[in-house]
Amino acid sequence: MTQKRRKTKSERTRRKEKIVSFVCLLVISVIWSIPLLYMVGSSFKSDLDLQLHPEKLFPSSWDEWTLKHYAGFLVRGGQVDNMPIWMLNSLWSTAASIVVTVVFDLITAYALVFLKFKGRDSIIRFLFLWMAVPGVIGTAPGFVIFSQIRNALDLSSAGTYLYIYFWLIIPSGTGIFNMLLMRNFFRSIPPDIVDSAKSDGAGHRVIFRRLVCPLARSTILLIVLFTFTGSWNNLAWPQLLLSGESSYWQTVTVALTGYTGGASWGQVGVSMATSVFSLIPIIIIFIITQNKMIDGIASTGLKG
Amino acid sequence: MDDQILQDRNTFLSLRHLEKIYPNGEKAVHDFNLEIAKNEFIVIVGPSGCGKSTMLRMIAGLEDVTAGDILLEGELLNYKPSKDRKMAIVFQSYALYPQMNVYDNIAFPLTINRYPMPVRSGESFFWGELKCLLDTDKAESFLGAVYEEASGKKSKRGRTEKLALQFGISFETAKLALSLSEERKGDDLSAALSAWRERAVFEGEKGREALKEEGLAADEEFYLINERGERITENRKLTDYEIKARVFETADKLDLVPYLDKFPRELSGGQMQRVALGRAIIKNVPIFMMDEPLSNLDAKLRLSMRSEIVKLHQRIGATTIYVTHDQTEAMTMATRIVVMSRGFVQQIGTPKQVYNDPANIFVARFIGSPTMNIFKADLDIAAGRFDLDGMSIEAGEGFLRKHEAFYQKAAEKFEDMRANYGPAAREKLLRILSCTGEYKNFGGRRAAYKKGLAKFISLFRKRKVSEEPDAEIAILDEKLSKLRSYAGYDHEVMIGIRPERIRIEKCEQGKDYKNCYVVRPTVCELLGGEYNIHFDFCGQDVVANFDAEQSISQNDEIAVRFSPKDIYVFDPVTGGRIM
Repeated sequence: MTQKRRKTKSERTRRKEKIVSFVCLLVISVIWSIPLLYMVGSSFKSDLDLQLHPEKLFPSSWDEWTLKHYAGFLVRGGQVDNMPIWMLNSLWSTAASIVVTVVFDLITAYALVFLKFKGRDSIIRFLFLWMAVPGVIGTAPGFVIFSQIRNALDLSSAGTYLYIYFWLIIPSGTGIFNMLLMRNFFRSIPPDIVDSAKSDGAGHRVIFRRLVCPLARSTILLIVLFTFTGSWNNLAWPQLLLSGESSYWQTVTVALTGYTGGASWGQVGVSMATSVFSLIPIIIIFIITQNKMIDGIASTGLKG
Repeated sequence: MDDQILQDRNTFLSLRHLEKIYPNGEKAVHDFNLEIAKNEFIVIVGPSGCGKSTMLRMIAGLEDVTAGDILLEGELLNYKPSKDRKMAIVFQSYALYPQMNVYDNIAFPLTINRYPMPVRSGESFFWGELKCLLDTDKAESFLGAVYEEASGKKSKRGRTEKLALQFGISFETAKLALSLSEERKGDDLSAALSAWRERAVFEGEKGREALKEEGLAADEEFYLINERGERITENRKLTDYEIKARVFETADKLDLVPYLDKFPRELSGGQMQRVALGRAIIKNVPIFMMDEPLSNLDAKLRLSMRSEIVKLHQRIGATTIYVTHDQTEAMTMATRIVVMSRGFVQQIGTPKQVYNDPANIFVARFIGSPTMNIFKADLDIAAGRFDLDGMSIEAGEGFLRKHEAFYQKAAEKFEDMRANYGPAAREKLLRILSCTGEYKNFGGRRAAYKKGLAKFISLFRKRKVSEEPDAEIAILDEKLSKLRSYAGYDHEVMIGIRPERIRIEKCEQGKDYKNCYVVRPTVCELLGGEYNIHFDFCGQDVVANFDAEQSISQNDEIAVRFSPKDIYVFDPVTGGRIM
């Protein structure tokens, strides 16, 4: 009974494979998480500790833990600073981006999969090709169109704000990758289901709303997550559009560059704290969507 | 055309010269003609890829019709969208909506369509309904149930719905009854009965007066009527309660009530099948279409569902079109069978006709289990006998006359085709090839599949038109010369005999088996009531049935005899049946 059975060859190789993959994943995740941990740890270090022990991940002793940096950017001179306003700017524009993206993607993917029209395959091939073009290429022409229309419109202050945010939100809704993700999912829906709904008397609107969209829930969540991170972390484009505008109008990422730029060397702690603060929404969204996201990745055949 | 419709009063659904050509140029259905009467159970049967599912999808409106007409009671359906065709379709994969539970699946068609419903006269309608119920002999049990429910502990809505479903009345009437019972608590039943009746009559009359003042009128059951005394109808969506009542009724028919709140993934194959049927039934349409509905079920369930479907068909008086590749299903369920091969209809007839009187060699091979045994035999015209590997069988009475007529006709047909070779003649040739089974060997019919650069170059090249007809004409010529040489001379024929018609005797010692073929069986399969006996004959495996009252094994010798009246004779060139 006590004698241990020698493991079979396949069991041994499987074990070996498991160990190797575990080690690889561990190394990769440590490499990926060190900067994150360093950021979180440094945001709690006191100023002195930041100077003396920059090599440590966390404050060197219990006394060195402080929340000063968080207070430093939230409250300035006894008053609440602009941070909540920036957060709000980021939040509403991200939410709008998500809505626009999901609606665009659902409608486009539906048309590409369930409607038969001439040139459908060419459109899809063109979109695949277009994905190879880096988005940065659109920056310069986009900005020219943006500024010319803005000059021509001669907007009021509030109008300018809305106009800039329109330009932040709408282009992000046209991402091809998410749309193709949705298309892949739609193609996996058995055609019999759609045929059967058609003979039950459903038109395209009913099929879209009652059949296809509920089925696509996990893919929608996946797109929500992708769009949220993309839009929340977006820096170059908002910075371009918002430069020279009122500081109240900035998004979180744009505002953070003020803490991390060359002029703010003395405020390492504050910049770390703001970075951690701005990550909170992403972490919340990730926790909410992660289960569904794995479903979504599995059902769209996307290699994660 | 109109005269024809008037003549054919029995015709319900009429399919005329239907054809389907797919965008890639493949022709899936050739010239399909069928007149279907009401309450028929039509089974379209054929091997996979013969165009039977395409046919069904065309009728259902899920696939465009390339040519031909679909007429439902004389009304052209070709361009009607699927939902207006009064048809329900059941798919092989059941096609249940995975995110909805069974209830929602069954209710789906009701929730999205509008139905013509008679208009009710407002509140007096419910009083009328209550009165009708109180006048029947169910009145006392109803009252009892109402008083019981009134003191029940469930939610008010739940109690009302239960009452309504139990007595088949509308939701509002049940609500009315419950509120009445609140008013008259403590009455004994008979007193309550008369009081309620009075109240119902009074309220009904009041409602009628009020209607008169508005210039409207209502009939006995308080539906609004117009001047001619007909009920006024409106197209409206059904209310939640109406849907619920119909879903429960349907689920009850199919024994699905315990599963209503389960999701499709939690059901077994048979249950999913029943849900799919329920979704078709609840639409209350005259035509049912089923696309191999049983092929995903296990063997035992398939047997029971087979009879279930036939029973269902008879009970709801529907017209059913059923597609399958299983000839047993076709034989057992159909009132008429359509046998298809390669897009061509081979034969249309009752199961008996198709079995006993197959039109050609394809039908003979396809229908029947175990399949018909078919041998090559030499026909000796002078003696009027077939020579089957040494065994001689007399050709039946009048065979030679039929033989002569057959080959004369066939040769004439081929000469005509050869003389005016064109699309019509080509169609005829393909039809013949589809029945002899040579179709797939028919080279050069479809352009070879090209890849990459070769495909790109071929786009700019002119297609060679001449190649194909040449090959076809060569086949035509070959067949024609054979047919000419067959008329009046000895030649090869195909002889078919059903397994149960082969006379088998167990050999006994000392008995003389003249004109019999004596052989040892290779395999004896006991099916219970009978044996399927395999033996070698003419260099091929032959199956015969043998009664299981005598036991038999590989070591026994058997004597095989064919009776001339049981054999079918086919022409090897065209596949047609000579006798």
